[in-house]
Amino acid sequence: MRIVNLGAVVVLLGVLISGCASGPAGQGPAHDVSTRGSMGMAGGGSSPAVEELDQYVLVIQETPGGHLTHSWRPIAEFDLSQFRFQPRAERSYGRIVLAAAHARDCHAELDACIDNCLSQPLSEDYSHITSYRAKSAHCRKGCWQPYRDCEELQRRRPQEFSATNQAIDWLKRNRDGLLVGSTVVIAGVAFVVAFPPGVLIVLIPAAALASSEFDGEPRFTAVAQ
Amino acid sequence: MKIFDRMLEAQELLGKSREHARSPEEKELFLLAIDALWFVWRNGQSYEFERYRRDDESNAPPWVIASFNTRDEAEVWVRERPTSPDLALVLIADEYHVVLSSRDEQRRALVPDLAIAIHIEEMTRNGLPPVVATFNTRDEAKAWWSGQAEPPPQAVIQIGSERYLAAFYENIHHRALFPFSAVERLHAVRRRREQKEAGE
Repeated sequence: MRIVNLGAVVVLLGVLISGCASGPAGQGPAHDVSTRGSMGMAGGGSSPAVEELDQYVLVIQETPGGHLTHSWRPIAEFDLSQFRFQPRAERSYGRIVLAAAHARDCHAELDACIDNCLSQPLSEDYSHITSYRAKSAHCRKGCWQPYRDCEELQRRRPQEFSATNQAIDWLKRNRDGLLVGSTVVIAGVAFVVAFPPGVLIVLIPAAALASSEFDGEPRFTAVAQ
Repeated sequence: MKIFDRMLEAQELLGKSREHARSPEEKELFLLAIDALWFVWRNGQSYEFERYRRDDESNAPPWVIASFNTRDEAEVWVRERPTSPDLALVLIADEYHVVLSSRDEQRRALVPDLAIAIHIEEMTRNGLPPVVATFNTRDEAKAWWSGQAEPPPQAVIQIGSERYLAAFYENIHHRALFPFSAVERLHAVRRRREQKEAGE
């Protein structure tokens, strides 16, 4: 079996939204999976059947001429052991991100945070903050990081597509704005974005990464590079 | 001149305290405060600093560093700053906004801020302050406030039956009028928060 080196990319992923993503492990898709080039690309744009999407990895590459090509490749070709959970203590950057897909109003949350902070007495450590305006500056500062986290999470909300073609067009157009570890949902199947060396974008079915072997912290996604 | 002497005095006091610091971390914090004063000094902002302190003592409206007519202008300005002016307040069409950048500073958001609502709430905590002038229309009030040669940082006025806060931002040569009803936004935030807490 050909193993594609996914390099140092570390992806931890959420299984919450991928619960429905485990379709039947049937035969491979009918389209041509013959290899081409060093990455063993499947040619053309044909897609696996929707119920088998979670058995495939989407690979988007750039040709030397700048043309973007994509292919769906069986998971088995990928060495998923490259994608390990990073122990909590080593998580230097990247954050825990709830993978649920509900929209939040970060501005409303910021306002509520500041109002809540203002309504609480400050701890003794802040006894030098005597004026309400110093307190509101202190509260604004304290609520800034939760606001950042909220905004970041909104940016990482899964992009959802009902059809593979839509998704591929969008991925090609937005390739520069994609974040490692963000989630893209295609036809109900959750994929995690990765950028292994030598490939422009790879989308790995979340369910494949969430097998029992890796299933340490369900519900949460964390990303590190 | 006096502000420079005061800053030097403060630095001297901080320097002495630094010698008696209980830990290297504490030493470093004294140095931080000393450096903050040097920063003001070397940036030529000592008089501005003096004014800032005077405003702060007189409970002037929350300090802003810039004012814009439109959000577009504000966004160009914030984008072009060499570093993000995080946590600074600005006015866009006389509405308070706070600059909050993302972790990597690549995205700089101008987020509507409750500053004026908080300020008005604080002002009215012990009852409504007396008004210094009454007008029939906002335009009249505006003309009057613009015509003040040396306005105070703020004045409470009445337009029709509503109280307004007339504000003067000397550092950016800007005057603005805020209805006292701006405080309702803070009250709405509070109601929503309390309802949510009660529901949990």
